[in-house]
Amino acid sequence: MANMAVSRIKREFKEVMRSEEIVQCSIKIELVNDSWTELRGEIAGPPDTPYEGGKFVLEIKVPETYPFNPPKVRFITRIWHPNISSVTGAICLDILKDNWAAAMTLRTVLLSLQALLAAAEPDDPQDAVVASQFKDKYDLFLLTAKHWTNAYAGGPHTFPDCDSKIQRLRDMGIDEHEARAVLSKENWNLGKATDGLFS
Amino acid sequence: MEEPKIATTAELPSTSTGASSSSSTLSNNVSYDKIAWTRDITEPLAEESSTSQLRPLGTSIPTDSASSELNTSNTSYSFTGDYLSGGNKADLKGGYPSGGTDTDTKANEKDKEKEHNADDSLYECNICLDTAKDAVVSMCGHLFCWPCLHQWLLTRPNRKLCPVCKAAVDKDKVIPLYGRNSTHQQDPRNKVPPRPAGHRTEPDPVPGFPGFGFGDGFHMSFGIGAFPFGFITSTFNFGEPRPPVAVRGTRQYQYEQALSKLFLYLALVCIMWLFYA
Repeated sequence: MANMAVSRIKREFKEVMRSEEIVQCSIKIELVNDSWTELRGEIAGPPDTPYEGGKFVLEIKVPETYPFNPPKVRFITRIWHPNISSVTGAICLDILKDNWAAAMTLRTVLLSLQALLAAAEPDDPQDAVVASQFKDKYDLFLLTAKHWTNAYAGGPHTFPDCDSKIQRLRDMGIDEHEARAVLSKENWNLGKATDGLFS
Repeated sequence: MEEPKIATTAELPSTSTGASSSSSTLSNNVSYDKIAWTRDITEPLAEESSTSQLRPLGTSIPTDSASSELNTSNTSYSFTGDYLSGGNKADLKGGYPSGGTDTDTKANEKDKEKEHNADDSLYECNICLDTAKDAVVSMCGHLFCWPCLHQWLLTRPNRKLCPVCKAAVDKDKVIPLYGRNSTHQQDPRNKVPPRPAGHRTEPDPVPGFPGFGFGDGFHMSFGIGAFPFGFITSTFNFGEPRPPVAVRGTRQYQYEQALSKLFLYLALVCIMWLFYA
């Protein structure tokens, strides 16, 4: 069966390379090792979302039992999204779990993830903090997501206010990523963030 | 062979005028040529395969001269190319000093290759993405290799869904596809159970009165009751289709035989009772 997984991945690789999306630079895929079991995907942030302009890198691990079981996909690029863990990059998407179907391909998975970025499901969250911010303070969520896209995925929107707050925490000896995570979690309230960090 | 025929019939007015104009100046051969053409005009559909050739029937012209006439007549026509498919066009154009034929044929070959690939991908298994082996098709119309689909059904024993459209699929509800050369079955993998058999149902029996023939078993019915009702009861039996006769030697056959004997005795008893009463 492992043989089948490899031969299918090879075909899918070709399919992605021939697809229209690669011409539009909206999805990309590349090999990590020679055994075809680990791949690196990349999706562009969909337009009219806070992720627009960003490039998000994904880790794709192909199990021995592929395509009967889904590939294991996780975001390597940090992202602020209700259905993606802001810490580990783990994804909550039904087709990567119970709703996987053997006819799905790497291309459809990448496109589904792109669709997930455009349509979050805060009621079925992977990251509860992000989901509650999405529901209660949507403006702050948009700001945070754009800021993360800028910081990690090369997005165009810069927020000097956020940067200065992060710099304040860094001056206190806090790591940049941790400072950004804590501030995002505390809705960019510097006082609460410092309390959380130093209590 | 058909396409040149279409072309010649379409171009006939010009050919006949050309032949008649030349017949005044040239030798007899040309007039025979004209005769042959008129034959083709009068019976163009009678012999489809031979109409494209000139047949100077009843004349003593040797065949090589006839073929040369064909060539000359060919050159006098203007084949527009709309009538001809790629291969024939290339053949006919071979004699002309034209530069475009090679590129044309190459383009045609490329097109054919593309079509071939498209044809292949039509018959790809939706799971392994290879051309389907031991092909089965689901009720929702999706094609799979049987080993692939079987493996998929084993992976999710409690949620048997079509991998493509998520309709319900079941081992008993897929249809195997038998191509013409599928009698040479390549070794079905050891662990995989044999492909499910096709469901073959007999066509419905022809409706209507089955007739009094004894060919398919004796058919008798009794209505018990007052006269008109009994009449109706027995009349209403006519339209019902009868189940096929059981195969001789099976248990059902014995059972049916026993039943028919029982009813025969019952009928005899009733008749006897009528006589005595």
